[in-house]
Amino acid sequence: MSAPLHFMTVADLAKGIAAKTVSPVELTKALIARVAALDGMTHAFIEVTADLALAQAKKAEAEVMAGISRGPLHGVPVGLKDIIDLKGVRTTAHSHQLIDNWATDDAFVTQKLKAAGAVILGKLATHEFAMGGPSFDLPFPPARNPWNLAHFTGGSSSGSGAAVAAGFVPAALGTDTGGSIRLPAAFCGIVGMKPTYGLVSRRGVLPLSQSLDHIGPMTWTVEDNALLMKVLAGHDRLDPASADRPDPTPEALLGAGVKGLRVGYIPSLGAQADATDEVQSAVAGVATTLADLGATVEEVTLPPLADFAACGMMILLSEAFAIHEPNIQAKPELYGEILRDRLLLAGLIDASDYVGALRMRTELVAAVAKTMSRFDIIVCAATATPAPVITEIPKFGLFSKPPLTIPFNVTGMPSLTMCCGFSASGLPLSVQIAGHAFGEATIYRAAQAYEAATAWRERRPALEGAAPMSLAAE
Amino acid sequence: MTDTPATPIPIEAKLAEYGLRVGPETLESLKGSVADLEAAARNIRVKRSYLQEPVHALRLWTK
Repeated sequence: MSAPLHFMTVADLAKGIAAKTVSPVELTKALIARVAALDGMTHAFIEVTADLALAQAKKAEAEVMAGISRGPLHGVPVGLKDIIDLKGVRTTAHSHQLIDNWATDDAFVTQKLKAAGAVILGKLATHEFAMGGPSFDLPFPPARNPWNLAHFTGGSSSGSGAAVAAGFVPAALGTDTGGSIRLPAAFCGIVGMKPTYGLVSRRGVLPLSQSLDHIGPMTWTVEDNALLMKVLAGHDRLDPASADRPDPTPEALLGAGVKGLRVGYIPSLGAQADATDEVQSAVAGVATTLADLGATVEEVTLPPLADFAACGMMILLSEAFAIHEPNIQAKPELYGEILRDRLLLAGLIDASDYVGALRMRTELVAAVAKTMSRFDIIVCAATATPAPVITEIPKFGLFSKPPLTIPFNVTGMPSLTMCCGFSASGLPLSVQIAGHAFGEATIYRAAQAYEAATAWRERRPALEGAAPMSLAAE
Repeated sequence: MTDTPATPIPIEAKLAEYGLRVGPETLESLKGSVADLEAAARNIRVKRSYLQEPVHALRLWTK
């Protein structure tokens, strides 16, 4: 039995649209109706751009009927994290600070999506300025996990994770400075890729930490993720960090299998990263499956997570403070409590420690490169636990409980998270797969082989009939 | 690993210097997290040679 329209993958929608069995207009209308019916529970959207989306869908449909093809995103709805500019629409960063910040141009990635014929369905919830959340004192409520509405989506691309898992959009864009694509992808049971630093332009996206920020796709399947990455990647001469390289082909190795692939398996990232037995078992299962499929798997270690966290968080907080210093001094009351207090902590960092962290980064990059020289990919846990209860997220856990994803922001290497099982309570568990710089195709190769060998994509969250969480809990 | 002594962060003085305003409750929670910040700083404060210089922006020959 085929999936209902709202749960169809990008790849299947593309086939249906090309074959004229799926109408972009009817698809867009169906998703707008689904959001209207169910997003009161998940709060994934800040704004549904219905008029724009329907106009884009009508244009795409007319082009398809006229025999014009713009590729696999033609007529496919996509959501944008609300720090990514969409011309004529507010970019609020989920904050009172920018409640009237109307975008005068499209971000580079938005331009890319539009050129590919995608339909922009709306702006999605984020942690405040991609750093402060989940918060209950902002102009919009925090997104909730479609697998269990009492639980955290992960962040900061919280709405993107929730929207894809809930079947509101088949794909969304997120941004990732310490794990903000990969953590919500992990907690929401979807696929999220933080590409190599420089692969995707950040122009037109609100910065958090210029040397750690990345933009990438969040989707239900690995193939869909690669299709999005193919569209997003590419040189932008106006982003000084953008890599001037030949056109990437992230989808090139899909279906190639993993026979002969060299996999480094990291059972633990260190004492601060102690994962639950469920998570450890699920990630070990990924290594076993890859070995069964023909990969050579060897246990390996990286420098302790505490080193990556000290280095990465020092850089992240310092660069974020440099961006927010004027507003935290002039109008601190317009920030939510969590971001405001995290920025206060950032203001206490010495310049000497920021410089020390930048220098430490070169050591960590070298150490990881030495380890990676023996492998094509490395595999480790994406999170230590399944999604926690949304009201139990500490304000200050950046150093004591660092995200397991931050090593690859520090090194700039590509890293993907994807579902690798479910907890006893029915929440997704997730694995992280990292690779060489500009080695996205190899990561997708391994991830797709694992996905095809398992049945995790057959399970979806059931929002219909779920009871909304009371506002009192918010 | 540390070979540079960590100086305790003067929280109130630094906040005042920046013109940052905090209530007593926030100050208490900040003090707790500053301990984590100081631990991270101790991890970073080691002597490094030119080999660890972050000079990527000045690698002009690659442009």
